Amino acid sequence: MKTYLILILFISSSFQGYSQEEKKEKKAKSTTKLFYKKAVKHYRNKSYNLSLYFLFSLIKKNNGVSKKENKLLTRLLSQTGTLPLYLYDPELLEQINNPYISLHLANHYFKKKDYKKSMAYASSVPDSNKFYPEARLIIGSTLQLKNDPKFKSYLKQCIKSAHKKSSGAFAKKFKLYYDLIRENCQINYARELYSKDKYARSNAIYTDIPKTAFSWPYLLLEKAWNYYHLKDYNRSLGLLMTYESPLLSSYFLPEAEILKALNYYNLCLYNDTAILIEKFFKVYKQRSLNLRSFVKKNKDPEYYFNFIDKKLSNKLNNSYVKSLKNQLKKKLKINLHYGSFKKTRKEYQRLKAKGASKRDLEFLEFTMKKMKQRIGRHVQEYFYYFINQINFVASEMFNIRLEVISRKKDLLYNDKTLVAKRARGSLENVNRSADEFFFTFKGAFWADELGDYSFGLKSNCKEVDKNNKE
Amino acid sequence: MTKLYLYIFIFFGLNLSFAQEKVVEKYVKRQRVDLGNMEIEGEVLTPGDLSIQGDKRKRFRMKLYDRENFKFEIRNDVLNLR
Repeated sequence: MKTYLILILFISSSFQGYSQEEKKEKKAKSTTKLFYKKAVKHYRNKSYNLSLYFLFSLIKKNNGVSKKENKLLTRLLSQTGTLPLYLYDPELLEQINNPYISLHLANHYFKKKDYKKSMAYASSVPDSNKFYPEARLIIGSTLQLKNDPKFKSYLKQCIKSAHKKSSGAFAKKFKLYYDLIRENCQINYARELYSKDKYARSNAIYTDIPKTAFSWPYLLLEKAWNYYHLKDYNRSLGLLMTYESPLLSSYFLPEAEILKALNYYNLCLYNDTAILIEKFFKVYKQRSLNLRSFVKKNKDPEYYFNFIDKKLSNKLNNSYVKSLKNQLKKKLKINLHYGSFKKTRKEYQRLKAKGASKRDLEFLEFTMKKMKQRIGRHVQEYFYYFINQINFVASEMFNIRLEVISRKKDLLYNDKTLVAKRARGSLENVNRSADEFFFTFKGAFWADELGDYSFGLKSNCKEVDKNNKE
Repeated sequence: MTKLYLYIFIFFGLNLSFAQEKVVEKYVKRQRVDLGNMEIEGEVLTPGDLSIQGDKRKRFRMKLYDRENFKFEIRNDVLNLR
């Protein structure tokens, strides 16, 4: 009898345990369902950020993602962009097999210089996906940085797929995006040729990139380096002079000033070199000091976000600030991230007007704050980079100045002088290849010739006796 | 007694032999040299062209900036994607 009683007690207790587990399971299922329901509901109401929050809560709870949930995730990210992904833990994102997430993680690890992981995530983007060219660019660039010759095949795939997708894209913004990726891959080819001292071939690739491309103003400097190494100092100077045109006034690249000085120096036009250096120290150095004091005073990233979001106040009438703002506004990253932010702001304003719950509004406020900080930090980094560039250029300019003084001193000691005090320009000194334009200015629009300028200065490097000259 | 006189004689004799004679040097107070009458004997040689070797000035050239590659730009382009 006793044994029966024990058996009954045991069975009843085990049933009780089972029912408790069942209860837990039921509860978990119900929260999973609830999260999913909420995610779908917010998606239908076009509250994409909120929907994303519930979907990620669900993924965290389940430690994985179902096919149905993944589909919803893709739809949501196509609306929000990848910026909200910075709010979530990368370890959580690693559990999800989704091209948007893979691309985000590839970028995340590239930034951290964990190239192995970056390439692994970029490789998981299938060729049918719209991000395939960008993923190939990441792999190609990584291999190029590691001096791995395999990078060529990835860049080829990038160029081919981007070209194909660009021609099939209906929306203008997608077409622009694919063109930008394709140009980036082409430029990397040209850069590789430059590092291998194949300057003429490198220039041929740069010439293929249209003047309307976003990256074109930056390429002028790289192209000018090629001409400098080809000893075509006149063409190099001409390209750098393009930055003086009103259309490119916002592109002030400090490195271009060094290259200009080096070109004059190699043409033995020491006075011109000295004038250029003097101008740099008088004008640009002072402006950069003002910018530095401004950056030191303001360290909050959200403050820098306002450079993108709002009109510049009269207080910030520094020409460098204006120039940097214009440069930043044309960057893909800023465009994508600022677009995401604007959508989130709209979502917040709409929900606030509708009288949404305090919790939802607080979440969106938090999301916006994080987005602002991320964009602002990028702007801040750009400012710091620019100041560092100016400092670097200043030290290099100083070295060139010392060399100019040394050369002038040598001439004086040897009782010699240069052939001319100032070599005048002449068409005879202009070199021109078959694919370079020559403008007669008959019926041409004034901006057509941008990027095709060339100086016609004669090299002044011939030394003559001072007495003969006089 | 004779022995004592002998010892005394030897002792004083030795002392006298070690004693040095005091030398007093005297210099001429004034000496006149007539440089006009002096003659230098020898041969005057003019250096030939090859005998002059001017020190060659060492030129210290500063290494000016040169771009080796665009790796920074390659990385930066990816960082500016997203």
